[in-house]
Amino acid sequence: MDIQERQDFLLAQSGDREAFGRLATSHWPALCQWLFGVSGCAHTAEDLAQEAFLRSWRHLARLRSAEAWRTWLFRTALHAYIDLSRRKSGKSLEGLAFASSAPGPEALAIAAETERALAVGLASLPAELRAALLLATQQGLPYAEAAAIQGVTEETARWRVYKARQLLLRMCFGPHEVPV
Amino acid sequence: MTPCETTRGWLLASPDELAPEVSQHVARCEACRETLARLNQIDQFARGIAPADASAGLEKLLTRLDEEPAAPALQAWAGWLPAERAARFVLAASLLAAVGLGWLLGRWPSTSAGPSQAVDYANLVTRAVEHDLQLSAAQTPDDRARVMLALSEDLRREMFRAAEQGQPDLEMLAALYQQTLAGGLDNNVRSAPADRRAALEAELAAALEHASREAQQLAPRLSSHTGAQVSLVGESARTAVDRWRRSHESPASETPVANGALARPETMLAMLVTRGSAIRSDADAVELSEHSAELAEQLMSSIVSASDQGQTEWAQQLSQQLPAVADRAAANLKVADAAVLSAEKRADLDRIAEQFDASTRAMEQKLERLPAPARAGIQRAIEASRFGRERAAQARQGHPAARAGGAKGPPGKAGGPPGLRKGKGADSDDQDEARREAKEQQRERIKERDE
Repeated sequence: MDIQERQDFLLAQSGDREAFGRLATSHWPALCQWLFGVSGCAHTAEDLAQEAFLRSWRHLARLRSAEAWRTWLFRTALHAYIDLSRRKSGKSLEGLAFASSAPGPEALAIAAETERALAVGLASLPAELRAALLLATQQGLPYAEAAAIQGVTEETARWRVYKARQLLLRMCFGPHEVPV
Repeated sequence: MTPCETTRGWLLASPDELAPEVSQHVARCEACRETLARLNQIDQFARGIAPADASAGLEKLLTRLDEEPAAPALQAWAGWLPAERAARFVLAASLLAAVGLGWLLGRWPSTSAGPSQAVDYANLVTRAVEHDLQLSAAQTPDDRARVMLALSEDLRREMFRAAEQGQPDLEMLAALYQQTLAGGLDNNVRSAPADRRAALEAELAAALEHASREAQQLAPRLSSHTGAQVSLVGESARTAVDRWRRSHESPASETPVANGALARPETMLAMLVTRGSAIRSDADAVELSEHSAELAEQLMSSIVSASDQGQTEWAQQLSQQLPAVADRAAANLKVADAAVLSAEKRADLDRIAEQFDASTRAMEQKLERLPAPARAGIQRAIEASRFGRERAAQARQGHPAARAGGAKGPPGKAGGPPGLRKGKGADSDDQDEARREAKEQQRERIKERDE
């Protein structure tokens, strides 16, 4: 986080809505992207993100720093997703409609095929593995922060990312890829 | 386990950061190279996942945010300060917090301000402590508002000076200036008696409008980023004036004053240094004593820490502030001691005096290892705190003078803080009666404790 965001955090803590608006605008894409990856649904991601931001506004005073706020924000969003999943137990969340920005129209057919396989594979992962993998790769967060967001130890966060990659290799590229 | 299996285990753990021996194996082994390529595909795919357009959701969020009630920012302090006090407190604290932050973040200048230097935090701390003393002595919201204006002007002038010298990192000063106006200054103006408020606002508005004009003149000459920060300061000044004017037009629509809670450790540290800024106009003598004694203790502890960390100049600078703060603490203790207090308040005063005594004793023990310039300031503070020490000794011995108060007359000038009764006229009988009661209560408490 840069100094501007830290300053906005302090201002937001003192009740400045505009400063919080700037923080929200800055962190909205990342949270939405992650939630989209976790939930597989753009609408769900937006709803969850909105709730997480509003909750964080109400609890700003309890947070000690801008960094702690970001962790809290992601953790709150994850809990909201877990609650939502429980309420919809047995039903999938509208299907995982991942839309990767990586390949353009000129992408090779084989690449599109791989991507479809990866989309299906990612959707098949247990949610906690998916969340961990996306925190580490998509969001580029250190394991310590990924662990704090998920409420687990750093070691567990590492293991989840490892396991997610292992399962994706197996599902998308064949069982021979997976080491013992 | 084969080398390939081992290598793939490492690849799964961290495909981005491979140890040299793993990289060497991958370079030689086609199968492992392929695994690495596939893992990179997985990570690349994960990074590329994004919803098509989430901007509508953001707009909805910002709309909903406007409808949300104000964040309960002061709750974090609920157990520590009365809410009314906390709002003012947070303001002053945050000012010094950022100054403290500057130091903590390694920006502390090694010498006094000069052309090559950016923000002169050392001078700002000096001024902030002076203002803190003024705040702890001020008895009315009007006086407090004027001190807050002076503090905001210090911040603004230093920011503008640094901006003209090309210093880019002025966001913190801009934010602090905003907070000074939106918090402490505004709070005190609103607390001013109705018959004086208009005159006070006119006086302050003149200074703020001047600040706004200076910002307008300066901003175009600066880089876009710095100019934006300076404009923000000018805008804050103008907004404060507008807000007062609007509140006259429709008093019912006054918005709650921005307040805040700063909960970082470094902020807490600075918060303690500035506790004096939170004194209410109707604070009693014991509260005043506590505030000034805590400020003195905090300064002493900061001096030792700074000295231990090799921040000799910082320790020296704080030491220069300490005598005045210690004098204030000692004077406030004397005033409180002379006041008619309830048994509970008397016990509070004993506790404050004992704590102050303990702090000065701790300082004495550490005196030898402090740098010479710091020692002089500390010595002065120790002398100033002698009264607190005597008071604490009396309290420990259950000395009647320490229990019932009034053994020493209140110092000098008339018109002490509310709750204080001074002089010997018509009130002296009441005072004697109250002292007898307090003494009796104290004896009972001691008896109960001994039993």
